[in-house]
Amino acid sequence: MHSNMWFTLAWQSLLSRKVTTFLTLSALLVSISLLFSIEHIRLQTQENFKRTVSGIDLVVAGRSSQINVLLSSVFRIGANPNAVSWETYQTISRKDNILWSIPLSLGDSYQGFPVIGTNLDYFAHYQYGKKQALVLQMGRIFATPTETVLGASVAKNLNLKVGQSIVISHGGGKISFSHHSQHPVLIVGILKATGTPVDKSVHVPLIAVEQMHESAPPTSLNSLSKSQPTINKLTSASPESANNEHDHDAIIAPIPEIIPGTFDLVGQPTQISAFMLKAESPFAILILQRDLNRYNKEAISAIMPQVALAELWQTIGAIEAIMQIIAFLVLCASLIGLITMLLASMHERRNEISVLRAIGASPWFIASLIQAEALLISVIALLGAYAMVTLSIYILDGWLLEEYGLYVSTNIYSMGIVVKAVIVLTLTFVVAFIPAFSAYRNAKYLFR
Amino acid sequence: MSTAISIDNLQFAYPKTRGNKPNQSHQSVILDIPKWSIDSGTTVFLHGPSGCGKSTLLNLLSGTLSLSVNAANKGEIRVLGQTITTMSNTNLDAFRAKQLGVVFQQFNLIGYLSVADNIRLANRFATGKAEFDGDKLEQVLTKLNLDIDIAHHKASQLSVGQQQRVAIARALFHEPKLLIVDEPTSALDAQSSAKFMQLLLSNTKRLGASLLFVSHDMRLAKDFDQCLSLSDISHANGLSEASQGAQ
Repeated sequence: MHSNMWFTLAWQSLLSRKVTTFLTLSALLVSISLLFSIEHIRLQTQENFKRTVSGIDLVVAGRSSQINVLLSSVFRIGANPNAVSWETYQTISRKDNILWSIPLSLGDSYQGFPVIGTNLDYFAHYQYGKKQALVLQMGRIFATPTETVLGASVAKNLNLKVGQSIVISHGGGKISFSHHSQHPVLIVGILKATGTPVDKSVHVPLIAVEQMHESAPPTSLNSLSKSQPTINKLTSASPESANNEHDHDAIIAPIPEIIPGTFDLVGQPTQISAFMLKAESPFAILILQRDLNRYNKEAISAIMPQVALAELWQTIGAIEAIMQIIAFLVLCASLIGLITMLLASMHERRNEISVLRAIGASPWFIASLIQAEALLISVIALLGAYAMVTLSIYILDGWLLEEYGLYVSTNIYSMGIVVKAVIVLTLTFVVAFIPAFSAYRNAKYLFR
Repeated sequence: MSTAISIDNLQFAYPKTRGNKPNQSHQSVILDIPKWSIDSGTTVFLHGPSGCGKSTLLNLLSGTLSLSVNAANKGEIRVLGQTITTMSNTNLDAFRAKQLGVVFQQFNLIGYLSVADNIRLANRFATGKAEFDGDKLEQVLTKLNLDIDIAHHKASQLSVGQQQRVAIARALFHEPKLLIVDEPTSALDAQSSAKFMQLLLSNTKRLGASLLFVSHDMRLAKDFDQCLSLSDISHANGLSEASQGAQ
């Protein structure tokens, strides 16, 4: 009946106490922002991890825990010290019940971005998200041992373009004192963004990894130079420029047309870091996994990515829970601040309450007015926090991607956020009963 | 002629309080009124020394104080033909909003609202409708010698004299049948007080409403239809030591 009046009165009342309202609102804003941020990043991290692997049945690597295999080979986090011999890879990948396999050779990096040595099957079979294939945004897939295809984030963050050459560093990490300066590689393609670690990867042919770790200069480079002088000019970077890792002012020339299959892209590696494979049936996956984990010629581990991911979430779940508990405790502290503010205002509001009673307001109306004020502050804080988190992600998304490889969507709307908002409003409603009850008693017994 | 107020066998005592909890023991009767009534349309000046129970009577008549605060209280109070002593709290609040105009000694307005919003709020409780007659507001303010521009000022920005006149405007806006006024001139100087009384009485007469005006200042009594001392109608001695704190 009096809803509009009720709202106006609550709003005006809050405005009349600007300083305390602002401070209380600020405390709630920060705590709800924290709550929303944790929830959003939690969901986005899960989403990021889930979308990374699609259509891969098993990942096989040197013997290690399934989480370590998953993190090192799929997410390129950490390292697995145990490798798989090339012979084992070939033996397993030729099994009848395997549809395809992708070899992965890891360990090198380019300005902190991991370098993946692989073959063309990677681009043909690797899928992410909802079984989406990798797509080039420009250029083509590598066709010679001295070419590379960059993930979208690598190109964007380092401002690299097709036609430029880069020098891979030995080992991982951003700082490296050992560069494969004798083996610069030409950027021939840049992949479209996938929101997975692929975006942060530098893809080179397996043979390139092998050649980089040998002292001899790449043979294919010499053969290329005869037919493609442009490539020679771009790839034969001097050691000085190689130490600068890449030269943004370098001439960017059209990339050469190469007939696929002209060059050997695999070579004869002795070992690889891991390989991914697709079995012909779900039943075959289980058989394969059991067989590979019992493989007696070499100590290897075969993991199902989805199962390993579930185990990973179980491990991370405890940390997530702690983060959420901390966020809720901060929220509780802010709500206590809200109650304190409303309770402290009761004494100065005796006149206001007596006027309202005189003109016909019931004690319930006055109690509901206090509830309305508390809920108004919470709603404003919720909307403010939503905007603040969205804006923060908009500003920080590049940094999050670069530093943590996290694709965090600026659209923070999710069921989890809605649930958190409902919890905040419910908690506000519950705790506001304390000042509301105090107001009710004041109103009821004011004239006693 | 119908009666605006009628009281029968009223005995009222505050419960002795301990914190906020009523205690039924050691009560002192503040009001003991065997029979008293006011005719409709009359203006009554009720006086008495401080603590004699004037405000308590007004609170009982306006329904902001209930006989039920103490089980020993008894009697019947009829206001504008309604027995308010048996009304539910909800009905009592609605009755007060619609039928009565109440003005206190001071602090009659909500400081953070504008004059117009203060009056609009009271009118909303009285009528239950959101519609608000701006022309009527202008008329009421003009009749109380208030500039129309004041309507947009925050109540807290007004002088005490202006606030009291706005309080009368608010109380009269929904044209109540009975106006209950409790020492509204106590914070005003003699000149402002005289002006206020003249405006109050003329506007009450214009509406044909009854007026119960309580004060200890006998200089204000001259223009009223009746002038009574609370001791003329109540046999009790007013607030005792036991209930002073509650007042």
